[in-house]
Amino acid sequence: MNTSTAQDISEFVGREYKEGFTTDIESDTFPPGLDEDVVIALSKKKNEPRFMTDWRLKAFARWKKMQEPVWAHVNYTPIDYQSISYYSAPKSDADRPKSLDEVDPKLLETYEKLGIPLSEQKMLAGVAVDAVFDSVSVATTFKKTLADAGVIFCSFSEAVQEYPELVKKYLGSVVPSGDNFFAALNSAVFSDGSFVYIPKGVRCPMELSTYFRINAMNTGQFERTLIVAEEGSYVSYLEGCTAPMRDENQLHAAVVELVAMKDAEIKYSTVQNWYPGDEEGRGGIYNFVTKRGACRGDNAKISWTQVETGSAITWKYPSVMLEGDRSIGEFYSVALTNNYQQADTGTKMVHIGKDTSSTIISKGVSAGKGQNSYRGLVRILKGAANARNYSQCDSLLMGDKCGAHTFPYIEVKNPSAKVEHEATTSRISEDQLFYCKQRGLSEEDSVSMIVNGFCKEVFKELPMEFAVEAQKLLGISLEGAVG
Amino acid sequence: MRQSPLTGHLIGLHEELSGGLPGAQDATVAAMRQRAIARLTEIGLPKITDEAWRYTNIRAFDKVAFRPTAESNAALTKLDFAALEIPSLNRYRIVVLDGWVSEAHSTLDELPEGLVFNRLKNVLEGSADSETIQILEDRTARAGHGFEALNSAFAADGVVLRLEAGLELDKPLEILHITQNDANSRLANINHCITLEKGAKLNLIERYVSMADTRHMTNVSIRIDLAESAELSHYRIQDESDASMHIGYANARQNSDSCYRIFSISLGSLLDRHEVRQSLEGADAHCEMKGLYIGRGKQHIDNYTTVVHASPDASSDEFYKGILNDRSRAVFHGRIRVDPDAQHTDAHQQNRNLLLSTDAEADTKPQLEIYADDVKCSHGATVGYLEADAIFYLRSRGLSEAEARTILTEAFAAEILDQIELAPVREFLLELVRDKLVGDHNLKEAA
Amino acid sequence: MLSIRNLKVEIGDKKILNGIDLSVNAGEIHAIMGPNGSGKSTLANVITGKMEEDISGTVEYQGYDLLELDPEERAREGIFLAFQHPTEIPGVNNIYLIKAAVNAMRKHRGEAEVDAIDFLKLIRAKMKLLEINESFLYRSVNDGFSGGEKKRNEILQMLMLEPQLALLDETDSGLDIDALKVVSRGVNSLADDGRAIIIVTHFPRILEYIVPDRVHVMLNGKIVHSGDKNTAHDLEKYGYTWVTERINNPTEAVA
Repeated sequence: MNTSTAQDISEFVGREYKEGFTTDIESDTFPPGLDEDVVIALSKKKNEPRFMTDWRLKAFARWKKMQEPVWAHVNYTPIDYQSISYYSAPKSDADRPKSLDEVDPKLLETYEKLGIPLSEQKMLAGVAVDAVFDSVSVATTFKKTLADAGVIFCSFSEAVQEYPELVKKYLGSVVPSGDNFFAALNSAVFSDGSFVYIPKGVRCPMELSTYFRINAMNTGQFERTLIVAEEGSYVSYLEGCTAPMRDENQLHAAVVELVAMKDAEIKYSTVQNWYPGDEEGRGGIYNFVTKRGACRGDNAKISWTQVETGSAITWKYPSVMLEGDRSIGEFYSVALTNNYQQADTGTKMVHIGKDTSSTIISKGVSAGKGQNSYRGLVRILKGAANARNYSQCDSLLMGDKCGAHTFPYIEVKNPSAKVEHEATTSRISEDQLFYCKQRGLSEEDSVSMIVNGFCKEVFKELPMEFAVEAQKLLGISLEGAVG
Repeated sequence: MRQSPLTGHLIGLHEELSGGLPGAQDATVAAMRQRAIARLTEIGLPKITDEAWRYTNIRAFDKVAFRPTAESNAALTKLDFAALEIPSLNRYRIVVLDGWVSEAHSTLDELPEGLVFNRLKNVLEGSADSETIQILEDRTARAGHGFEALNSAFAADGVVLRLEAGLELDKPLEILHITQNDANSRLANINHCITLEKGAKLNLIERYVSMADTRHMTNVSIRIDLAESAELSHYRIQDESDASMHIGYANARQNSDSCYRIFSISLGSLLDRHEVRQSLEGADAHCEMKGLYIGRGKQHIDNYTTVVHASPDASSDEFYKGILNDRSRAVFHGRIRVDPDAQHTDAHQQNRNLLLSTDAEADTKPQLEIYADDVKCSHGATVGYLEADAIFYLRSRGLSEAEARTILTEAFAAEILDQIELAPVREFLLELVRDKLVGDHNLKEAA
Repeated sequence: MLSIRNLKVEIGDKKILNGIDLSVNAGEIHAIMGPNGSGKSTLANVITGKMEEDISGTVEYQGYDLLELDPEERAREGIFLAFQHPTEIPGVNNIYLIKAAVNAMRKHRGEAEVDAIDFLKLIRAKMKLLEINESFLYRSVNDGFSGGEKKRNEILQMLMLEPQLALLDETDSGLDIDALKVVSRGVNSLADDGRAIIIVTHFPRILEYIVPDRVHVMLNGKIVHSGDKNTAHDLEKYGYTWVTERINNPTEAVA
């Protein structure tokens, strides 16, 4: 690659973080530190029923005995869990807005800067937004349309108050409170999140969307999302994440649980653009997330799609437990690391039922000094007759200081299974670049086009609005793209 | 940390036996052995909590009182050498009997000029070759697992071989390792060092057989150094007793323009762990690693390979295949690491597994770790069964289902074996593999 | 339009081009013929900017010192190369690339972006001419295309970009006779007084369909003979040895 190419690429990937701004709102925040009293206080603050407090305390007891995992291909300075504040809510909590008009204009302004003006969201066909500002849900739209369909879409706190039986039944049923270090921490201190319940036979009338945002200083964001799709139902859920610029690192340890019953389908899409830190690797979010779905019934389907461009460190493995016969798991991922970003991400597909199938498509793009690892597990248990898995992991390297790594684990205990894994690592080919340039495209446009092409298999899995945003996030404008 | 019974037993054994090992009176050798046993005490033998051993558990051997034998006991009883020959193979031979080089049964007199042979035993006793001792010492310090420390601690014998610059050996050299039939619980710690100077060429056959179904352990290290433009074709044929434990590790270093080909054929042992650690340290170095493993009964076969591309313009090509029957289990770990300076690396890796029985299992971990951008790297892994379409095709041509299965299974294995250039070795292995597969009860049942 | 003087390319000790002189005027069709390894593709690479090093001599194009321009600048100034081996770009829609390229040209000329409907209308017309199926547009660029499809795709792009100087690098190789006719029809539809076309080939057959004004024979990095369209027939009849002999014995020149 000649020097001008290298320069253009570094310009292309070196765009500055545009979502870096903070909103000046008074917050009601706990002092830093974590012990049983903090857990109890948090639960009390949220006016939770006894079972929730107990559940949190049990998780906290487990967490205290656990070690932070070290196996991921990432390096970071140890986190001091006692220096984090475990609760932060907008001051106006007591007087929650009834409609968008009542929402603090500064909040709305924040969303405008993020490019998701709520006022316009209503007009955007079929997208309801549950916005999480720091930890507490502040505005929810489209509730009525959803309510008419029997769909429950609300903040987790609200669900605990309004639908305690559902929460009790499903909370921790996919990701147990002691599943791993970060999941246990989340279980003890999660502040809020989203709750979705799709009744039997209902096709959710619109795509559901949540934007998360870390705002206050030194607050960890610990959301918890629980989606239950009853027999024969369908839901598509979109999650977008972004955070303001900070010099210090912030922790984000979320848990997402999906339950798909017989013949149900859940499509979960994420565009993650947390603050990645600056060019020297200062600041940025530590994104340690546990996402798991269970295909509980026959023919259930869970599909994860993620575009991970932000965070200083990404540690996440959206997984599917394929319990029902003929159930299907999918994982589509684009992860981009630039500057000093590190990503260790992938999936787990555990085949339990018969005739289950899973597909894994992972595209890693490494630039600058970024380190990008795919880590995945495909496990075919003894009873999973005729299980199928196909995995394709491709890495694109831009520059000679970055790294791309692939660590798949394949365990097969059934002889009728068929598991295929393929991976390639390469850089943008000179021939492709020259071809585009010979057609009159600038180097930068050529690179953008080729990188987008590289990620296309994943982008096409995203709902339209997200696909566009994802492409923009890769620094590329596909203006007037046809087809 | 709690020590495993086997680790404890071996440490105790060292105290008992170390005074009688070759070179025990030499201070350098004794110190080297002491450091090795200290290292073993520190890290112990591998446990499944070690990431590199997560699928391989040596606990089945925990209670075995493994014990090395004195050289005087390793004298040959009655052995039918003719039955051990690879048919129509014209070769030089060095025999290693129960861990000791048997000069009487080797063709040492025939070795040509330019091939410098020594026994590790002599090296240890004479301390003449400090380089070789340094190799054992270094390995102790870096020991990835307890078996390496164990091997240094009990280091007694092995082949130390040097091919001088430009020497192209006219015939293959076979190192034939034999464990005798009275050798229950026998422990053989073997260290070979093979050095090819500039432009030297060698066909090396590293072969293991047991004379009876005894529960013995072979713990063997082979250290390979290829200077500029040297070429080594290395055939490792492991066909030991189905009750034994075999731990082998080849560390190969390659200089520029050198070429290393290894065929690792695993047929025997209850537990076979074979590591190949390849380090490409010169431009245009090339290595090919081919493997075939056949699991039957309760065999556990673990191939653990690492290729480090430390210099630019080098290439590596790895292809391992396995056929698993009964309750056997195979593990494949393949790591390709491309260092930042290793631009223009071309590295590829494939692992394919065929499961023939409902109780067989395959675990595979192909890995790429890449720090340079102008590279072409790929890996792939599959686990599956015989294609129904292919079976049907053959049946439609009049073959029985059992015949069809046999043909397809043999063809699966032949894809590796057909790449062996030495015709007698290839034919020998095709025959051996066929026997193992036909002896296989599932195929028989189907017939 | 294009004027090449004493063009040499040397890589190490190897002389790939050994002093090429060539002038091409607007409205002309030139054919450059020669066996494999004679340097034809290198010449195309130098003109389009794929090769930027080890070059001496001058290449002037419409008043520009062509060797000073980046590949995309040359393209925007109207130079088009139909590649001998068109590159595959997985994931990038064919129509998206063509549209981006058309807009890059328009932007360069200070024109507004092409109207989506006009664009589609135009490309459909060109596809009809080249007997190309609509699904072609929505496949990834050259990805999984057959040899013939790739070549047609190059000509489609050429017709959409309307270059001043089109270079066809062995566009005929691998085409059957029907495809060759279709491709030639496309090329002929572009030819007019304002443009120049250079056809690089080693088979005379394509020149039955696209009739050249000048035919140049290249051997060992040099143009050893230039003549009119009949040169191609002579080559077909006598082969390249005829040219060699002709150089050795200039007096016995045929025609």
